[in-house]
Amino acid sequence: MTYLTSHLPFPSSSSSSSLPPPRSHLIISDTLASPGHFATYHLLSSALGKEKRKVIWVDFRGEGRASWEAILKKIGTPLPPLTSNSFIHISPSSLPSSIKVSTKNTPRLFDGNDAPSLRETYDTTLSHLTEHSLVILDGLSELDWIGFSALEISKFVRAVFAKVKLSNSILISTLHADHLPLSSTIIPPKEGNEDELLDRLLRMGQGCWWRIAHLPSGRSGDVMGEISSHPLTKSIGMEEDQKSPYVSRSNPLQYRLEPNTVRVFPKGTGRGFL
Amino acid sequence: MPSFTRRIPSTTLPPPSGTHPSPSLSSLNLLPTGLPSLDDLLGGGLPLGSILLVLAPDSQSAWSKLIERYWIAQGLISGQSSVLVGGDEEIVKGCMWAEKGWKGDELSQSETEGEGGEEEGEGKKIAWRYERMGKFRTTVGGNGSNLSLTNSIPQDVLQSIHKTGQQSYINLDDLSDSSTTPSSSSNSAGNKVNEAITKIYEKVDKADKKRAGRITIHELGGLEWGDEVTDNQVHRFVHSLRSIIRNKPISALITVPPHFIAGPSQESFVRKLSWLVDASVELKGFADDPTLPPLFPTTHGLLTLHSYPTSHTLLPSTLKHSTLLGVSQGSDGGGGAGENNLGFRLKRKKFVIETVHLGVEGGVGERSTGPPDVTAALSGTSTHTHTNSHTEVEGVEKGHAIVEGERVSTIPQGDGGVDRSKGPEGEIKKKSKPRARVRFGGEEEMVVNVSTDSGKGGNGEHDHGGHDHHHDGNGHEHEHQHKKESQTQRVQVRHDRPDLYEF
Repeated sequence: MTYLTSHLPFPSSSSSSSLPPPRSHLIISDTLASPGHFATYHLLSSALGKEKRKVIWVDFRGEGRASWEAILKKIGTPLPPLTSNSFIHISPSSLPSSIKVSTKNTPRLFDGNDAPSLRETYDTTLSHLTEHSLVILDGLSELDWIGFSALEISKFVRAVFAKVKLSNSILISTLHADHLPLSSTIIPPKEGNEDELLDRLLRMGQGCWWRIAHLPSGRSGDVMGEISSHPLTKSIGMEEDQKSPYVSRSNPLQYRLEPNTVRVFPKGTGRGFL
Repeated sequence: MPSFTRRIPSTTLPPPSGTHPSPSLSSLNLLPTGLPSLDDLLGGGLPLGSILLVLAPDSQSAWSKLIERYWIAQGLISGQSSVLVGGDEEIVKGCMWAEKGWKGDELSQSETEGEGGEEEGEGKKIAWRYERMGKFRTTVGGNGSNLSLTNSIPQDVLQSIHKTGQQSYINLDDLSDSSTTPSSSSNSAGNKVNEAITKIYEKVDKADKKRAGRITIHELGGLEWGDEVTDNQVHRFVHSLRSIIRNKPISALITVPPHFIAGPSQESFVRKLSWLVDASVELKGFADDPTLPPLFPTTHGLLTLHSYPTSHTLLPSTLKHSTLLGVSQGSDGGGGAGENNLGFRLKRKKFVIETVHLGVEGGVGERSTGPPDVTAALSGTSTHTHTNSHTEVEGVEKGHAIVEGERVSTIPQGDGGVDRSKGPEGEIKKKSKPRARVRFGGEEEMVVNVSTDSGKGGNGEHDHGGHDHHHDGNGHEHEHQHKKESQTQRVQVRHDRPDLYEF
């Protein structure tokens, strides 16, 4: 059940075209009015269903496993049981050090001196990383907001990506990009260096950027947002035909969420239009 | 016997009291906020384990406090535990309470049905083709606890909730005394935020796992939280709070002081907070801006839904089920329309969120051809009036001379004189023009004055008064003789200043 595959196919040198090629980095950005969770569910469903990849989900957002369990059941790819080794949920904790956090997949984001540190999260993630896995760093913006600098976060992502490449795995990062202009006229006010994190990740390259944004005209029941896809610089040694899908901002794909699936259609061809 | 029966696992736990299953997902339990219209916006209620953020940027009123009280009262009335962080007992004491005779959900439903019956029984004759049309509604009906603003929480209930510990407090002032623990080296505000999280964690840890609970964070980042709470600390607090309650039958409501979301970076701050919580609404009251009430006469403020619960469902419950938001896809398969504009109104007995519509004649109660007179609502024009009134007096003198010379031509010439003398300034400040006409014009101009000048402040009128005293010796008597019929009109017109028209 992969609703985005036919619209955003990746080069199919690997077994499936739903997922980015191994050793590449997919960045997904979204906006408040159009959350991009559905794109992550699509990738997760492909990885767990057809490809039987191991998935490591680093949940910086604090979404919780129960939520994903319910959604993936609805989509038709139930999550493996809690004891299974093929789906790992790591939920980094921002609690102060005075509170004891017991479970092993809950690394601390703040050390004893209350200083932010991603070391524990990095170690926990690596301890689960095996060949051909899919690593999802979910909610990098939230890290930025609770006190990490963009430099620190991008260093962390770069470090994880290096290990991911060594193990023939795939890396997916999600973050929020409300500061990006929707059109030449709608430019949201930007505060400080809000765009620094996205810039740094994009400059890292070697993959693709899916940009999910809401319509400039506001919420609607028929079209809930737009997706555009932008290939980033290729890594050395990657074939020329291994091109990531390109869908321009001016002619994006539009989508509509439904209870069990997501309908994706080219701009202007949704229900009620020609 | 049906051939197929749905297999329901026998081990499912009953939902905690006072909650109901989500319309999208039966295993997800929702907590009513106490406001049926807000529940509708959230897709049925606030899911357990989530955070609702209520923003009220209007510093002159306390809409977020009202929502807080609804939230607490709804919890207390359904027997849920309630923790108030950062606020004192006064908030709970001011809670509204259920109407007398209310015993439970069933009765409240039958009451609403009864209301419907009454409407039908009125026996109005409507044209047959409209008979089946529903009444035009701007809000949704209630399945709440019938909380009424005319009732406040009874004393015996107050005593019992404090005695049983159903309602408890985390006082931030106490935390500052105990914050001598050498656990952290950051500033005092950071200490307080950390201490508050620790206290909440302890409370939640000890709480009954089967009983639903509510946490209310009053004015996060306000004065009580320490001197300088940074954005990062607020974000981290919310992040930690979410991780504490995520897998518990507890939900939280957070309010933020208005000054915190003011300033140049307001939009970005609100955006970040809205991402960190599960649902976020902004209640923009009109008290800050006097030009808005005339534009929206039936509304007390505008409401923005920044974010809604997205967990557990692919299609968020709000988008699917909310009547007020209006983007839900109907059974015919064509939702199509964009979202509604939303506002809120405080009625005598309850607070409702409703859709905002233009009035019959484009937003105002009576027919008008020009834009609504918002300047009447503003009173900051005094300095300009002074310069204008000076010019006016000049014009008056000219007109006065003409009145002495020839009475018949007084009206057009006097009028012209005033206009000429005011020419350049009249363009800058057009408001003074009708005032001058009033002074020297005939009956017709008088009427014009009535409609334009009656709403203006007292400043201009005072100048008029001064001028009329000049008149007393000369032109006054002439007018008195020749325009008797208009005098009655004048007296009626300027009843607010009888001293101007004593003849």
